[in-house]
Amino acid sequence: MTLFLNSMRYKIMRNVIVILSIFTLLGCGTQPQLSELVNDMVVLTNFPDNVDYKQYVKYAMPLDTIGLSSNTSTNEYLANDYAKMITNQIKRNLDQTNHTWVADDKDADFGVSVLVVNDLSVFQSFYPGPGYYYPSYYGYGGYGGYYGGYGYSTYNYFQQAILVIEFVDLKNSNGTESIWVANIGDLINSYDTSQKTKEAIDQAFDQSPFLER
Amino acid sequence: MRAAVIILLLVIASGSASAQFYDKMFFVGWNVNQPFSNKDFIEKSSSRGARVGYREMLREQIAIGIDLTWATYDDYEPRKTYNYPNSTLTTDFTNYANNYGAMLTGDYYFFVEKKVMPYVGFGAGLGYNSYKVYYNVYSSGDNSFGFLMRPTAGCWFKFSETKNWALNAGVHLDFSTAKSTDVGYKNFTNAGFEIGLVFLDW
Repeated sequence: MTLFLNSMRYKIMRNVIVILSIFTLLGCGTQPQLSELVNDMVVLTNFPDNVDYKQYVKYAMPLDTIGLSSNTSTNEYLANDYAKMITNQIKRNLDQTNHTWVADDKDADFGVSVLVVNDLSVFQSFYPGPGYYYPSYYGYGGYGGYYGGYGYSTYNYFQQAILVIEFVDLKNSNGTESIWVANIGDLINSYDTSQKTKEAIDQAFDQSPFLER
Repeated sequence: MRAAVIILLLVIASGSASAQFYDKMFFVGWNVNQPFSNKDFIEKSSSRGARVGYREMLREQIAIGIDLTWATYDDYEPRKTYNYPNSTLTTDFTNYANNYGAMLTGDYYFFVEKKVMPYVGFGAGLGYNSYKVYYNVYSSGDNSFGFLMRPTAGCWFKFSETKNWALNAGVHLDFSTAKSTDVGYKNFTNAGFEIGLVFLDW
């Protein structure tokens, strides 16, 4: 009897250890946590060949609003403190690179278009169950997984936004050609968004020394 | 979860069974690995790896079975500016490589039914590597399959003749042809060691 109980105990414990080990090991970070990734924003600048940036002196840019393209809002522009901080920071950098702000487009060599593109994605998944474990989706801000006794749905939400700063040529192409574009992100998930946005705007200009006149 | 595993290990350590000869075994082990390929992408050693394996004795000192392996490597590239012909990018990167393997493996044991059982083994099979680059909320990557082989050497330690489990410790060398031109891998080679358990009465 003792032998039988020992054998049963061994088999139960063995199976539990194996199952727990497999789940523990599979759950060990095969991808980074969002908090490890969002200390600084990504700054990407694009520019065409053969542009003589010295010829672009005067620029036009609204100083109190920026554009908004969003799938969660019908607003077409932002006019809050964040928007003003962004335009101020762009103006400061353009002033430092010896460009001159003008109020009227007609007097400008180039126009500065500033736009926030905001995207909310929702993912729905259905699991037939029972007993299937669904791990957390990498798309941040979503819900973690759980063991289901029956079929169930999970929803994962992920929201992100980028800041697009574009210089359009008013001198030679009447605003149809872009001469410099900066993409900065992510505005939603990065830490200390205002400060990091300022730093990212500065970085966009720092990494474009050809803009200096 | 880990605490639960440790407690269960202590409980099972107090148990024993009378079986003396085993022909089916199950392995579970924690792996620590050091990558040798493409150190520009990942140089750091990894303590996130595991193996589960099953063996049946073919002869007295020879066992054959399967191994499933997993290892996750990561490394961090500090914030830097990268210049391209018509663009410039400033960001930091977190690089990940997740390696999975399924192998047919044979082991040779130097002794028969001792408390200390040294062995050598060789596994060959399929490797799947997932390479990913994370920057802020963005990511890009590449996945590849390839041939995988793993020579191993190790030893079991049974704490008494009557125990039907043993502690396993070993070293291994992995070579996988799972390449990725996107992230600069011609192959993936790593060495590592393993500590785990062998259930001798599966």
